[in-house]
Amino acid sequence: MSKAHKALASRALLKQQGKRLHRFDSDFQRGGGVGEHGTAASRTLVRRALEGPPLPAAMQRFDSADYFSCRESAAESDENWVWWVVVGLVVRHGVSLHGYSGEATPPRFGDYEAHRHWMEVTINKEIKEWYTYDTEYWGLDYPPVMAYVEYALGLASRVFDPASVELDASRGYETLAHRRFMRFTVLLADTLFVGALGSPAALLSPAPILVDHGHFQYNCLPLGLSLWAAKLFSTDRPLAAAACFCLALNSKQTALYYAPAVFFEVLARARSAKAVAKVAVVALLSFAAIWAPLGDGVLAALRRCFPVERGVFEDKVANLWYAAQVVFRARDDLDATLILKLATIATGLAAFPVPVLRAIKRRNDFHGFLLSLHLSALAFFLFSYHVHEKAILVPLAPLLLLDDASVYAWYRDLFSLAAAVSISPLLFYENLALPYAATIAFFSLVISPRNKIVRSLLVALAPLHALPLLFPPPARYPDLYPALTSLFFALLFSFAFAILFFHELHHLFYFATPRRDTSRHLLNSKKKLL
Amino acid sequence: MDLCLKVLLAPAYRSTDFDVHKNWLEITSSRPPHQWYDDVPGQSEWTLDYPPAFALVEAVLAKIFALTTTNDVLFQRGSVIFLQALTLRPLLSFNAALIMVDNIHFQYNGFFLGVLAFSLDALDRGNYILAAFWFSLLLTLKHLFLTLAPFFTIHILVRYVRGSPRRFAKVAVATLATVCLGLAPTLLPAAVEGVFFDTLLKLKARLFPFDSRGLVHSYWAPNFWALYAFLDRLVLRAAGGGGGGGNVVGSTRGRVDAEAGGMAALPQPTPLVCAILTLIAMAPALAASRAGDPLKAAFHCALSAFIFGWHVHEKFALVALLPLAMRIPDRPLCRHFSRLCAFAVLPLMPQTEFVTAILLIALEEAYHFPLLFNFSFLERLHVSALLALVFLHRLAWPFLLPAQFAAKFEFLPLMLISVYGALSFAAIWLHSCRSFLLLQKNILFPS
Repeated sequence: MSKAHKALASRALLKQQGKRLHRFDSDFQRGGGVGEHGTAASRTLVRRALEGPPLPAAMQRFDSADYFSCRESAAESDENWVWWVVVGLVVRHGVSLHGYSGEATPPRFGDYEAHRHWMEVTINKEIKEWYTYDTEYWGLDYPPVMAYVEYALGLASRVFDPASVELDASRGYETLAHRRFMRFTVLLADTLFVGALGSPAALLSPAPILVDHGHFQYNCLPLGLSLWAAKLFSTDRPLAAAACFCLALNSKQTALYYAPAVFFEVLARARSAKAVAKVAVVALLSFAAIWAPLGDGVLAALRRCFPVERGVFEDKVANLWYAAQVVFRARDDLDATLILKLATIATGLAAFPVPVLRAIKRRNDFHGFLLSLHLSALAFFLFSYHVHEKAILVPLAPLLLLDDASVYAWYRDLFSLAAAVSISPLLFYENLALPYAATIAFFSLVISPRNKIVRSLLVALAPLHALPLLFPPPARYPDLYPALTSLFFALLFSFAFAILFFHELHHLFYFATPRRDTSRHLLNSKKKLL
Repeated sequence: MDLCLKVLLAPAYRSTDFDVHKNWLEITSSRPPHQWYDDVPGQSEWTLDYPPAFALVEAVLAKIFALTTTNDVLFQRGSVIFLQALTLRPLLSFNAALIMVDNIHFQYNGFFLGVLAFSLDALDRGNYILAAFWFSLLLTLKHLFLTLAPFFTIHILVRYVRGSPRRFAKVAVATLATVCLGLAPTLLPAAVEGVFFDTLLKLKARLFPFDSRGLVHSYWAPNFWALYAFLDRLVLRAAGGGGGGGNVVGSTRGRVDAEAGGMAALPQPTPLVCAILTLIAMAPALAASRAGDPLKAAFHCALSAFIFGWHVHEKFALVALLPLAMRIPDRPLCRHFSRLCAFAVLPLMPQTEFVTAILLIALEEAYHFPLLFNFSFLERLHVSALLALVFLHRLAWPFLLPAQFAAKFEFLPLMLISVYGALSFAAIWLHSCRSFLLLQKNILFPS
């Protein structure tokens, strides 16, 4: 770098911060309309404009507050939230320009083709046939809300490009324009998820971006709906929350991972039996409204949605069943129904204690609820039957609602990173290494520079990913590195689960009052009360 | 952060300029330097038409490319990002127009603007020899910046030389030495081979192809000539000369075509007329070069060159944006100008990258978010007009209007975009002129 360049760089930076702002002569300044005239409010606006967006909240996190103190997050009152949301959307769109699952790989392609195919099936077939039409080729296996969404998207797709959704003839249709259309629909759906989040580190968490906009899925829909349900609970609107969560459950089965936490949250918050009954009625009505249009296709749909015959896990998953398979061939030696029973019991034992105890102790603090959602989902991820590696997003999502001032913010960032790395074998397989690296780099820029654990892990990432290139796996074990990755993260997630699980139980048993809550909703409601 | 973003944009749409530069990599790596500008039978249509110093940059890039194993898209995208980061980095980092032109459409404008920024910065600090050096180097990288030569010449003469022969000699030596250095990559080997003058003539023919290029591009850059051509079409209509509007404004991409610049009813301007008009337009700023702000004058001169220049591309508006971004990045004038630049280059984006372009513009607006709420009524009207034109071009015409009507008036949205953009740029130019004339008045008749 030349001297002139350095000088220029530092000067321009200073100017951007408005410290040594030269001015065009006064006549020129009037050109824009925002000059010296204006109210005090407009002057502060101009001041802010001159200084550019404030530092991300994550970077200011430790500056004035000590580690355990609670203070309002900086992101919530500032207009810089708009900036971070737009950055989040641009990054998502940038990732979506890259490859996707099953790109140009006939005859079965991948998840992208599955979703396009469902648009084609839902708009061309009667609603009764949705779950039965040619199930060999990507039969619909999502619950009805997703099917309705596919129907709406299919109609839109037909307006723009009729050839893209022609029955059977359109299989494997992947023109550039239609690709952009499909990606745009995910971006639209993701505004739901993005809108629920509040901190830059959550908006730029790499795993949800890479799975939805890289690999291609609509996880943002069930996850976003679940997060909104959680937020509605925290603002004491259980009926709306229940309806929202029913929508989430019916847009993807994995929202079931939250069910124990949500169910007992209703009980923990209910002031009377009548309140519980109201929530139950709303839930039943929502389910009825969602499933009624299917008519007698309900049974077929249920069979498609819970594919017990598809095995205990798929590919390489960082969960305990996969670890058990690698270590002592559990899947091969044990009977499938026995595994199913074992999985159910283990999941129940792991998922229920914390939510149940919260209900018994009548705790309804927001952060506690988020952790209980997280624990319940993580229990399902680790122990339950038929888990995909992408399901790690489900335990991740509630953590993303924790704000930067939370005691658990470092855990949130650590989990974000671990989730992204745990799905990296899948991403490398789908040629998404470049967006993977770029989103991780983005993420590392917005998390706190003093989050030492995550920092050191980030530094270690590059050499770890270089290992397979330097030492190719032996011919006997071509999948050595993905398997090692999954095994490592299975251990890591189990370890995290165990610590957090016992910590929460301990806390619920021995402390009479809930932690001081930093959530904006409770703060707001407290303000209102005062 | 902007670098990560630009890396993410790597697989986006790329124009034929990508192939042009790819071919140049090939030419500079496979031929000896004195034959870089030769016409060979069966050559690609993308002949090298940048000066030798840039050809040298391409040759170095080709050498590096031969060493690496990455694919050509990643490598060339990476080279754009790297050269931008090397020179321009803190300026224009989230500028939507620049990202669209360089990182999507594919060009090296960021690199050239960076070198221009070095030069303007040196001029601003009063280091005139350095300014002359950087500007001469810039000329041998991309000769299009010759349009700024009057500005640099007058400024250095008036502020530094001031009649002193010793100083004049210093500047002249610095300039000539740099230009020779910049031309050397081709001419030195040519001199060794004994074909010096031959190569020089070929170089000249390649760099200044006045005879084969029209006044305006097939998509009218929003400048004075767009208004002139629009008036021409109106006169044609009024005269009833068969309003064959269909091919008036063709596609926004593709080869440059001399037909597209032809006037049907009004007299055809020549390059000389354009040059004289440009000089007249620059005059207020040049006359104030003794007292005024050099960056403000640079802005005015670049804007004049953009408005009256021969065969100007919409990208050239970025040259005028640079001094604004260096001096007043967060003032409303710079925001308005930057917005106009994005609006002007938007037609370069194909329909498939529309979402990308809109998100990039949103990103830039979000960076300066509070300003949006501080607009006067007129400014709001202006921004709404921009949005409405984009809506017409991208959504109403392709999807909403009846196909027959849309096909008959296919040229209309682009024409409106050009004309409205031209009017907006002209308004800013007039404002700038007024400011300089007032300054003159104050100097001549101090109150």
